[in-house]
Amino acid sequence: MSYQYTRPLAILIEELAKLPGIGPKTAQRLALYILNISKEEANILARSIVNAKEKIKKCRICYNLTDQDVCEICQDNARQRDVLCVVETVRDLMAVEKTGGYKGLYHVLQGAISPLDGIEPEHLTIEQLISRLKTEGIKEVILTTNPNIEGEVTAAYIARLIRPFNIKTTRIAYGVPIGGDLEFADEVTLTQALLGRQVFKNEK
Amino acid sequence: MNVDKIRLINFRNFKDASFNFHSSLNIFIGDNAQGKTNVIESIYTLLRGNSYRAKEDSNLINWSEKESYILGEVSKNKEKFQINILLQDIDRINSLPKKAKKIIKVNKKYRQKSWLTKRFTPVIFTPEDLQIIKSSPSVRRKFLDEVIINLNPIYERYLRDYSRVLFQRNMLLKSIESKSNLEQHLTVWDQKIVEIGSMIIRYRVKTLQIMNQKVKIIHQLMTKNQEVLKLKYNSNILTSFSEDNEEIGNIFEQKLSQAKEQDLRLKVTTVGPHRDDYFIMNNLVDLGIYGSQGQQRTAVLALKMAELELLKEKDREYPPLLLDDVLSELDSERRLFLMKIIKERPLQTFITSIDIEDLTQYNINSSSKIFRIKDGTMQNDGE
Repeated sequence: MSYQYTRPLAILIEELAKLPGIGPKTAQRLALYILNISKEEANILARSIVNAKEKIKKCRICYNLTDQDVCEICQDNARQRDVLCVVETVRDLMAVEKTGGYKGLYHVLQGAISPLDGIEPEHLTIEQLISRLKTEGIKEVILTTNPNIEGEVTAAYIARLIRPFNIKTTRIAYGVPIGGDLEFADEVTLTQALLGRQVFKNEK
Repeated sequence: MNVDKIRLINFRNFKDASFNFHSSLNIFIGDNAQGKTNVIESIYTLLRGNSYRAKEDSNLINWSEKESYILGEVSKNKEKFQINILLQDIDRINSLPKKAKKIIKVNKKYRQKSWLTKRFTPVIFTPEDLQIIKSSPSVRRKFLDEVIINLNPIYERYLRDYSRVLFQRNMLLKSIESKSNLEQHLTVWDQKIVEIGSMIIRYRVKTLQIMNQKVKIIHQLMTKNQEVLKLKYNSNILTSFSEDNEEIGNIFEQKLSQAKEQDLRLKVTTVGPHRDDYFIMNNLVDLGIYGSQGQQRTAVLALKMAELELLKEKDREYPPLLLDDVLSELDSERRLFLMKIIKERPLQTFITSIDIEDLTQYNINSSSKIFRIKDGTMQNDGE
């Protein structure tokens, strides 16, 4: 019979292994590491998990994560309040935010339409998006869903609903990565980049 | 494009064999089950990264060994490529063969299979290819789609996207059965399937058009102007075609909404390029139904030669032509024409045959090399 972990250790490993990207070996390593840290440190870790879980909720307006009723971005009056960037997940929001180049507001859909996964428009925050358009004086909606079939279909679905509002609706551009060599771009990306080419802006 | 040499180690029934190929005609002679087709298969595998007939890579490894090497030298547009493929199935001695590990190196750099498939596009003809005419529409679609991918690699992406949309739309059709309010969401999937589907139809129609020009010329050569071969796209959406994407799209959209009740009942998408086909017509008669064996073989060969010509126009030089067991399937006159077509072109050909006698009459000695294959070994017949 093979060696068995003592019960509390086995439970810890089992719980850690449930986390994304963590296999049984990493789970074992993390568990043994946690056993080695001081009791305080372990308490801080445990409390921070519970604390985050208890305090963090979804922003009432944009569905970003926040510990308040309304998230920091939605509260920030320095931001451009008439532009809305529609993303699938909070991770996508963070990615756009990391660029530092976008100063408008967000709307997090909580996924993309995918009958395969049983996700229909009703399961997303599309209805809430539409009611925001009615009240917030939005002038442009940037559809920043993923450039795959589900993301495209979600963008198309939303664009149809926005049409009656006469609000400028844009889709992020597809293109070659900046700083990369053209020869390494795959044909699909390059073809899309060519289709989406822009008039060269000459210096004035 | 040429395959200059190849060395096979533990590949199928070859323990260790090296071939220096002729830039024109290479003939593999030998009795049945000696390994002639295996050489053809190894050349194909070298250029494409996988076999055209093995279900698993591990089938290519000699049954008593754990790993196999295919080492080759290829030249294309004056550039040289040293391609090494290693197949490994470490556990196979102890257990059943399973998925082999595959390592591809080109000029000593690690490469993906797609690196090869985008560059090297050999044309292969085997007795199985008769199915293109005889078998179901899906076999014909597959052949045409592969031709298009070799000519326009981006088409592969469109096909993948199409099957994804199709799959999602069918999933939605299935869930509508229990939740009828979901029906309103079909529209957005219809839009997407029309968008990608009409692009696919356009590629297919266009490619058949240019293939028709090539097919006609080659087929007339092989039949002494007595028969005319023509390919005609047979769509469940529209009967006549313009290349106008928008027009195709409009008609597709119409048909899709007409078929809505039926789709909902059957819970599957019943119209679209995934159900399309094309006729292969000889003197305006459908060869799949009315053609003789000989006519069908000649037609498939003409299709393959047309593919060869299209690839030549794209790359400015011919890809290698692999002919497995073709001669035995043609009558002597058509054989003669085939050999003539091959000889007249700056084209590297690999061909298998059971005996040499029927080859001597083609007067090929000056530009060919004969390899005698016996039990996984090779004896060179001299230049």
